[in-house]
Amino acid sequence: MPELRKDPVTKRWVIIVGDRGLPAFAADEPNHPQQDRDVCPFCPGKEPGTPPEILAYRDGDQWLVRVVANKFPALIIEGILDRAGDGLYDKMSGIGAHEVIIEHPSHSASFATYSVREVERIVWSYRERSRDLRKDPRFKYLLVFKNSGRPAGASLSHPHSQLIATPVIPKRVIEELNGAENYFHFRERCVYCDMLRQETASKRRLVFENERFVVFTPFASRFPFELVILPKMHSSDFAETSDSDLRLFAIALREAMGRLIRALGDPPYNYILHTSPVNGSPHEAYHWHVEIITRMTRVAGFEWGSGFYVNPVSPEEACRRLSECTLYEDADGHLVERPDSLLPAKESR
Amino acid sequence: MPEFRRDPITGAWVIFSPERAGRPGSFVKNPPEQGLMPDCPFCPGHEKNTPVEIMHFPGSLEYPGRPWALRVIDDNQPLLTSTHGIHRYGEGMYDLMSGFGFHELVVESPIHTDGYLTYLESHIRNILLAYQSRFAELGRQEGIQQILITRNTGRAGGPYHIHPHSHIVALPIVPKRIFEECLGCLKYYKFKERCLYCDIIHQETVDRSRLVLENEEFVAFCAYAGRFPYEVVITPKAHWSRFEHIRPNEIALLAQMLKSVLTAVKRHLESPPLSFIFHTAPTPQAQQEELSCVTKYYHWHIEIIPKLTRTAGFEWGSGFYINPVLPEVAARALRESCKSTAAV
Repeated sequence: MPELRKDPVTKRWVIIVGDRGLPAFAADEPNHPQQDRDVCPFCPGKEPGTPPEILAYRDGDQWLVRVVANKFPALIIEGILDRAGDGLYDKMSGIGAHEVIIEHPSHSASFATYSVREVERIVWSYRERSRDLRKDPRFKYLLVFKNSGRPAGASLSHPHSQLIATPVIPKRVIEELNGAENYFHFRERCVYCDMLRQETASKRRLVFENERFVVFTPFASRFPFELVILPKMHSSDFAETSDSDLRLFAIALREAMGRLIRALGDPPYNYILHTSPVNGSPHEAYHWHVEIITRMTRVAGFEWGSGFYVNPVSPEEACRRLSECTLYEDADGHLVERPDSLLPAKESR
Repeated sequence: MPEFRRDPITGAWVIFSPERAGRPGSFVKNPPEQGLMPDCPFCPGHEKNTPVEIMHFPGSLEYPGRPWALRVIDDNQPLLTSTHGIHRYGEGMYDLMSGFGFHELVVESPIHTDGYLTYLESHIRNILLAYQSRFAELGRQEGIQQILITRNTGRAGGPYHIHPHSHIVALPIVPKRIFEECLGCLKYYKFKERCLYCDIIHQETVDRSRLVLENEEFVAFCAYAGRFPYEVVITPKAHWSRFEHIRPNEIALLAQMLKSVLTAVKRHLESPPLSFIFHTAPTPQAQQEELSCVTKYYHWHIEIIPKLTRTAGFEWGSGFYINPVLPEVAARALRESCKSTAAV
C-alpha cells in the first residue's frame, strides 16, 4: 500500500510507492523509445488489456479520446484517509486517483499534427474528469499533466496525458496560492492579472493571444522555452471554463505546443494545468493557468539542492524564436510541416 | 552578462546565464563526448588553459611525482561574476538583480579517471580542507549570503568535464530550498525550543531502520520522506550550523564516512549518476529577519542524491515527488553494502 510522507523540514509531501521496482536510470536515450506498435497498450484493438474505461468520446465504433485508470497508479482509490505519526514524522495513507487520458487513437498523432477539434476533445475530457472527481470529498487537488519524451518522464510514446487526484494540496500549489494571496493583500489586485497586463502591453514575451487567452514566456522561466497559457478573464478554476472558452483554450494550447515543436524539433516536454484546489475554502485570488516546460537541459545537483534553477535561454529570446514560427494546416485542419512549395533554399532543422 | 530574476509568485530566484547555452552537453540532445585525456583542460600539463588558479595542494603524499594533488580555479564559464557588483532593480512588476557572485572549481585530483572509489581517505580530507578554506574566504566577500558546494558524477547528474571536480558557488541571496529548510527548522525551534535535525538524528540513531552508517561524530541515514530513491543524508551528531566550523578530527571522520557511503551507493546501484550538495547555514550577511539566529536552529548536512528516476510533469507541477523505493529498504541495502565493502 502506498504511503504519503511529509518532510518535516520543508513540509513537502512525498508519495512512497514501494513496490514498483527501480526504473533504469536515464542514460542518453531516444526521446520516443522505439516501441513496437504491436506492444503499445493504448492503440485501438488493445482495449481489453487496459484497466476499465472511465470515459470515452466516440465517433461510431471508433473512440477518439479514451480515459482509463492507470495500470501502475501512484495512488489508489479504495480505502479511507488515515493520518498517523511516527515519532516526530507524519504520514498518511496513499489514497487518490490516477487516470490516463489517451488523446488519440493514432499512435503517431501528437501536438505536431492535432487539429483544433482534436485538442478541444482532449481539454474537454480534462474538464469532464475534473468535474466528476471533485465530487469525491477525500480529494483536495486534481492535477492534469502531460509528459512527452523519455527525458520528460514518459514511458509510453502513444499520445496521452494523466490526471492525479490527491488528498492534500501539493507544495508548489500552496506556494502559488500563498504567493497570489500575499500579492492580493499587498496591492488588492491579482498577480496573474497584473502579469497579463504587463505582458500584453510590453509584448516582449508575448507569443500568442486570442480573445480569451494569452501565451507568453514567463519573466523568470526556470527552463528554456518555458511557456504559460493564461485566461484573460480572472478565474481560479479550470473546471468552470465555458464551452466556448474551452475552444479558445484549445486553440491557444495547440498554438503554443505547435510552435514549440516547430521551433525546437519535438523536444521532450511537460505541461501542467494549475488550478485552484477542490473541496475547501475558495481561493479567489488564484488564477488558473497552464505551465509548459521543455526538458532539454539537465537539472544538475546545484538546482536540486538549492531550488535555484539555471536557465541558458532568456525568455525574450525564446519568445522571439517562437514568434518567428509559422504553423501550416492541411485541408482537414491538421498541422503539417511547411508545404513543399514554400520550402526555402536551405532548410534548417 | 548573467542576471537573477525572481518569480513573482513563489519568490524563487532564477539565474539567467545565456553564455552557457553554447556549452557542449548543456542540452540532452547533444550528449557530451567522453572527455579525452589529451584534451582535458584539468589534467596536469594543461594548467595554462584553465582560468586563474586560486590555490593548490602539492602532490607529495597522495600523488607522488605529480605537480599537484588538487587545484582550485575560477570556472571558465561562470554562472556568476564579481566584476559588476550587486544592483537590484525593477521591470514593471518584476524584480531583477545583477548576476553577482563567485563560481570556483575544485579539480579534485591530477588523475583523470580518479574518484571517490579510488581516493585515499587522506586525500578526501584535503578536498574538505580546500572547501573549508574557500568557505572562509568567500564568506568574507561583501554581499555573499550563501555558499554552496556541489559534486556531480555520471551523466544524468549533469557534469560536463569528466575529470573529477566539484563546484563552489557563492551567492548574493539565500536559495529557496535552503531558506525553506531554515524556515522549517525555525518553526520547529519556536515550538519545541530544540533543533529539528538534532531530534531527527536522535530518532534515527534509536530507531535504526533508516540508518546507513555512524561513527563518533557523523551519522548517515535515508531521509524519512526522501524525494529520490536511495537519497542519503550525512550530518554531524553534535549541533553545528556551519560546515566551515568543522574541526580537524571531524574532517578525518567525515572523509571516512563520505568514502564509505559513496562507495556503498556506487557498489549497490552499479555506479549510478549522482550528486551531492552541502547544505550549510546562510552567512551572517543574509538579511532576512528569520535568519537572525540561524546558528541556533539550523544544522548543516550533506544531501546525496543518486539520479535513478526521471522527474515527470507531476513532480514539477506539484513539488510532490514520487519515490519508488522505501527509505527503510534503501537503508538496509546500503548498510549491507557498507559491511561487505568494509570486509573487502
